[in-house]
Amino acid sequence: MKDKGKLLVLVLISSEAFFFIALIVAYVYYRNFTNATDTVSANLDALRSGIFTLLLIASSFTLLWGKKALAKNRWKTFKIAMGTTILLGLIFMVGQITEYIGLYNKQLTLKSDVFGSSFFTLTGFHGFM
Amino acid sequence: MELNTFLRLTDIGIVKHLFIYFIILAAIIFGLVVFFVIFYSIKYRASKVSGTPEQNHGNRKFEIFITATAVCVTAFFLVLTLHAMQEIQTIPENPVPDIEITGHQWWEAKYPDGNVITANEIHIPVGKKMMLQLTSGDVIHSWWVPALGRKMDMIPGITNHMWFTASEPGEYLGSCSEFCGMQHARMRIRVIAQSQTDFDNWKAEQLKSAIAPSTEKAIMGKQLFEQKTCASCHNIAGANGRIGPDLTHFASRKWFLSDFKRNTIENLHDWLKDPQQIKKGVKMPDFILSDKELDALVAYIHSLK
Amino acid sequence: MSLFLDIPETEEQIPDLKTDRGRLGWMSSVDHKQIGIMYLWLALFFFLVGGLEAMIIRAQLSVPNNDLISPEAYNQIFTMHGTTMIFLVLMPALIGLGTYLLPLMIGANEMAFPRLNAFSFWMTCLGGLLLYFSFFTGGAPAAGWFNYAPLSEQNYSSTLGVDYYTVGLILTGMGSIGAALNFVTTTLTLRSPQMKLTMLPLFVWMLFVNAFLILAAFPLLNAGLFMMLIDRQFDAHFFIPSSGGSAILWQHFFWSFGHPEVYILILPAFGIISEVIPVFSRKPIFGYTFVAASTVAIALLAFGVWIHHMFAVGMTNTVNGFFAASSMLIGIPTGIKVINWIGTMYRGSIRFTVAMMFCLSFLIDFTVGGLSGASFALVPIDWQLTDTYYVVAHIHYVFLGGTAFAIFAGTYYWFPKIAGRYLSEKWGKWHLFLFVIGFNLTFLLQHILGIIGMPRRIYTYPVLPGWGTLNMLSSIGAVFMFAGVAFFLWNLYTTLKRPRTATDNPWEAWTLEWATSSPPVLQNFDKLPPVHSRRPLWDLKHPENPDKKLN
Repeated sequence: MKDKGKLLVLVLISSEAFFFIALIVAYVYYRNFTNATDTVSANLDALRSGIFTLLLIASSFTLLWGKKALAKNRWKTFKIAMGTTILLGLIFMVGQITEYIGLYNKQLTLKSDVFGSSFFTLTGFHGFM
Repeated sequence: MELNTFLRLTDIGIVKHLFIYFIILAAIIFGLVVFFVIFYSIKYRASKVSGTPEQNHGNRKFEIFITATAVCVTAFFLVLTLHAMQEIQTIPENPVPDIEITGHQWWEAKYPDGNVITANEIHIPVGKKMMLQLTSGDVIHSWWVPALGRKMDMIPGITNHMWFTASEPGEYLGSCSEFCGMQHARMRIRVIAQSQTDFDNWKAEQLKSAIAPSTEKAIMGKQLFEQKTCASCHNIAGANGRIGPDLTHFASRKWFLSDFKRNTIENLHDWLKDPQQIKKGVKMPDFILSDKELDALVAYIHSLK
Repeated sequence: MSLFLDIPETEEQIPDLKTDRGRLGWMSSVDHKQIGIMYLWLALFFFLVGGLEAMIIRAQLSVPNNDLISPEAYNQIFTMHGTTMIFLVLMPALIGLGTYLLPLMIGANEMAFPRLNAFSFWMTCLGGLLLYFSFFTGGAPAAGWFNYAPLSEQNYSSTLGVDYYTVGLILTGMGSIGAALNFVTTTLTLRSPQMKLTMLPLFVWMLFVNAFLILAAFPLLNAGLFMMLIDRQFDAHFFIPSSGGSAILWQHFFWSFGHPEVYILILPAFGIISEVIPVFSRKPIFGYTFVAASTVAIALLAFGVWIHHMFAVGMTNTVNGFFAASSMLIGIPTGIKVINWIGTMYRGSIRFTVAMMFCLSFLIDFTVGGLSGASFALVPIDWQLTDTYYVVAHIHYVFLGGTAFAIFAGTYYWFPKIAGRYLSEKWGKWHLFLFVIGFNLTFLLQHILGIIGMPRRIYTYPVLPGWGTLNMLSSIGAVFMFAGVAFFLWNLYTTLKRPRTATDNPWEAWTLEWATSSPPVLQNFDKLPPVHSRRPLWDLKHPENPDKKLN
């Protein structure tokens, strides 16, 4: 691969994958190798999270659309695409924040139990990165 | 391996044999490395070699041969190892332990058969394969008495089992083998292996309730023991203190403080006077006892045979 | 402002430390040579700190029931000694040599990402600073360098020591990951167009494979460290058994990093040995392909052996048996390398420079370390000897007798290239003999101490047969090592005061770093020789007998 920038990002993401694998392993360990009951998964709304996730993924397509428009100097299209991307991103964040608030209201926090600890750490870092 | 059972090796015997096989192999490999490094250094030193040597890039066949040999040797040792593991560490489905040991910053030992609870000094009968159950009440510790069995970690929340055998009577020393805090160095083990009769007698003595104090000093000591809240941490058959070692038969033990000090009146006196001075970092507080109180308590505790 | 960095002019020199602009030039440098040199100075500084910690440990342990230092102080010191030597000495030294040499050895003028390079170095510094700052905040970490839970959790370790440990190591870990990213991208995109991957010098190959190990292993450590930090500061429950967490999980995370880490520490050392022995035997490395392939084998296996640090934890015989097998297997590619190095000496013409003599010491002492390590794969032996001084002996034979000896060899070998002067062979021999003899005296006997029952991490021990004598002899060895290091420092000091007189290729070596001046100018290369084999300078000098053409 000749483009060192692309290579760097590829290798960096692969490396970070190991970081997340470890956090996921923690969660799986508590679920399958201890006697504790998974308090978090019982309270997660997969459909809701799924929809927000789709919106976030859509934003990467609009970003790509914007990049292509910029390359062709289509300034107006670029602005629309970037605006949409940012909007979709913000919608996702609102969804995420309200999800966290919902869980906190059910007393599921970072310090409630191992599932709270691992869920918030995993999703928090994912968001942060 | 059938060979081990045939030779009637104890667990320690099995490990010794395995180690001897290893040492032989290691000596051969090490010997070869040292020999060739020195031999080639001398034979091919620059002052003895004229010009540029032949630029040999390697010998594929030789390397493959060495790799294959190494794989065979490894397979041999793997088989030996797996068999030894089976011999030493086969625990039945529903294990019934002979002794339940819990690690604190001291050793708590419970004999389920008969309900004997003691601390720090462990007795076992000679010639019998004892099953130990190991866990911890605080941090990770590890049980190790080299002459009598393997090392096994004691982890809070987990129960481990291992076998333990003394073939000869005597006192066997060991130590906590997982760094457990400030005084890890002073968390040592003393196992006393006795004949079955002596062991049964010891057990019977341990089951008896605490000897009632008879001297005036000792009676005062007993009152102090209750007044000064010692009973909230230490049990003397009746009270429920479990944070510190059980003291019901304290005076029957030869050493105390996890095999740190000999169990004498002077040592006990120094300990009660200022525990942090003797073993810094212990949980036992300094009760700031007067000399008279000290004497009384020592008299009482030292009467608890 | 341009996003691209200027390529320095040919002839532009490395800035002079004597001027303010020069000093600022060093601090803000993105030049891989300067960064490499700074890594090496960092490693030397912490080597002295860690070494002093070791001297204190040996002084305390020289007699039974000693009270030279308190148990609290001792526990902090042994924790810091291990943490320092691994993360602040061996890692920076190897990464430093790699940072300096990798571009030169592949004919490149710079690393792929010079600013990332500088960032990595300064993160390592910051991590080290924070780790040591803990001494001023109530106490350094005191739960051992592997920091087992629940001892390392808030209720059993209430000073900020463990927090500084976690944050310090997260930062140094990020530095290592940054360096590894540079090693991978530079090797893949900036090497001389004629140099195929099969023609890489072995030091470069080892650094390259090693970089992948770093990229996979350090994130695992960082994850564990973050979880530990979150446990301690935010009341989470990851590793606290009493509230649903798992103490063993910490061990899994730590050792799935920790085992690859020890290979991370030895592979570049293997690379150095693979460069130095051939040059001072006047022959190419015996079996390049096997050395390179065995490196890949080690890298892959490295992630499949970590349970051998946990054989006494009480897992099933099936689990332990599998990891016994993988641990035995990983010894084989390492053994192959030793045979290849000895094979290089066979029918060679051996020059006994100090660099070469460190390599010979490496061959013997690393073999001891490798063998004692292999004994742990025989699980029932591990059930006796784990957590004893036998382990301490093993780790020092591989870390000191292995990695550190290789670093010393590399230092003496590449010093002329880096600093333009030759380290004195005379003082070097004093360094070597005192250090090697002291090292073996200290650590050989510790195998016996472990076998006769001495556990590790104890601040003192009772009067028991043999313990006092063996410990005393072990401590005497430390004094010899101290003296050896003193000679090394004297050597450095006196050498650096002399003028730069080194030629381009004083050792008659064959890789590209020797095709430029000593030290190189900022731009590294003005022009490159043709590269058609693994030894371009050999081909240039011996046109009648070149190596086989590989491109």
